[in-house]
Amino acid sequence: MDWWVWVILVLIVLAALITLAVVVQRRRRRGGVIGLGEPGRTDSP
Amino acid sequence: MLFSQARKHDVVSTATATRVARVEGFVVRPGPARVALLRLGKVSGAGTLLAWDDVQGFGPDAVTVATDAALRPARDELEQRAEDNELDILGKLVLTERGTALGAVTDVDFDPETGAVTMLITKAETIAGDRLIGLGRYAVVVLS
Amino acid sequence: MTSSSPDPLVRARELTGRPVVTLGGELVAEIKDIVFESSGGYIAGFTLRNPGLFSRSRKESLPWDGVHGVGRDAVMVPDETVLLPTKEFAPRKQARNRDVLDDRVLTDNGQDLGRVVDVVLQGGTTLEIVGYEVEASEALGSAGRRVLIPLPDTIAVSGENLIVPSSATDFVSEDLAGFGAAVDAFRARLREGTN
Repeated sequence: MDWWVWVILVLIVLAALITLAVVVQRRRRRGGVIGLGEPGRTDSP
Repeated sequence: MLFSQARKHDVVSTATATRVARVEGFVVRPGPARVALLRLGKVSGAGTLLAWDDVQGFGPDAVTVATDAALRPARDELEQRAEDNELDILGKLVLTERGTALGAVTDVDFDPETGAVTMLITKAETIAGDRLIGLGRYAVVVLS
Repeated sequence: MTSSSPDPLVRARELTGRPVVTLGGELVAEIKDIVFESSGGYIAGFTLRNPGLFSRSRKESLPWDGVHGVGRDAVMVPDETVLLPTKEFAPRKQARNRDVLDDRVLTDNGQDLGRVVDVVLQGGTTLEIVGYEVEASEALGSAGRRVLIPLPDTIAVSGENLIVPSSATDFVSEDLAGFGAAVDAFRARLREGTN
């Protein structure tokens, strides 16, 4: 294959890796709303 | 006098009648709000800070000191941060103690006789100097 | 019950990323998670992350009593000494702690109202959960849209679902502006119901 085909493949792989890194990082940074205490409690009086 | 007017003032030693430095920045401290240190440029030696107490006179055109020995390097962590330009007030974000931003400091009005800071000026408003409660790397904090 | 001006409402997820700044003007961290007491629905505090784009969670958390003020641009703290190790504050591995985002909201007679996308907080000196923002199910007649559902004083959790009294559907709001009044009216209705 010509050399430029390899270049394009590398760029595609790089783009995919960068996208993956950004998505993963966004997920990790996502803040939650977290309840402390016992689940399984219902509002039964 | 305003910081914008006082910046670039020559610092002149009355002992030698020569210019020994130039004012580059101002370090303000709270409790009460005052100019604590001047950050200097165009110095020949190692000293880049000038304490307000060592200022002989702060005039409309120049600052006088008794001797250039008053120019000194940082003595503690706070002064080191001042020297590294972390604590310059011009351009720093103003936050109230409740967490609301009031804009960046565009100018400061001070008393050249005493060094007391009378007013902080941002694009949107002016803030009395006695509202200043803190100044760090990230922001200036003022009472609401 | 008399009140002067009501405490402001804010969405919990808007607090994520907000700078935590000391009264001395130093940036300590950013807010990450909002942590609340399940029993009362009050905010217990926040977990933190380091500022910046590629940063990790910090090992410290900010308990609510360390907060000086929550503002539009920053959460203010007196100094760094108010931070607690997260192990003490909100143990991560503890099975009881749960993130309510993406949970489904059910009425107590079994109707699915939607998926939680945010939580509405109200407060001044304490910050309280007063509502869920959900991506509405068809039951609310506006499938896919975001609506606000008011909550009673106590949060109720069952499995992976959050339970609300069925009368809450009468007080659903479209936006934050009228939601405070909806919460008050809903809670008044609950009180009448038990009298």
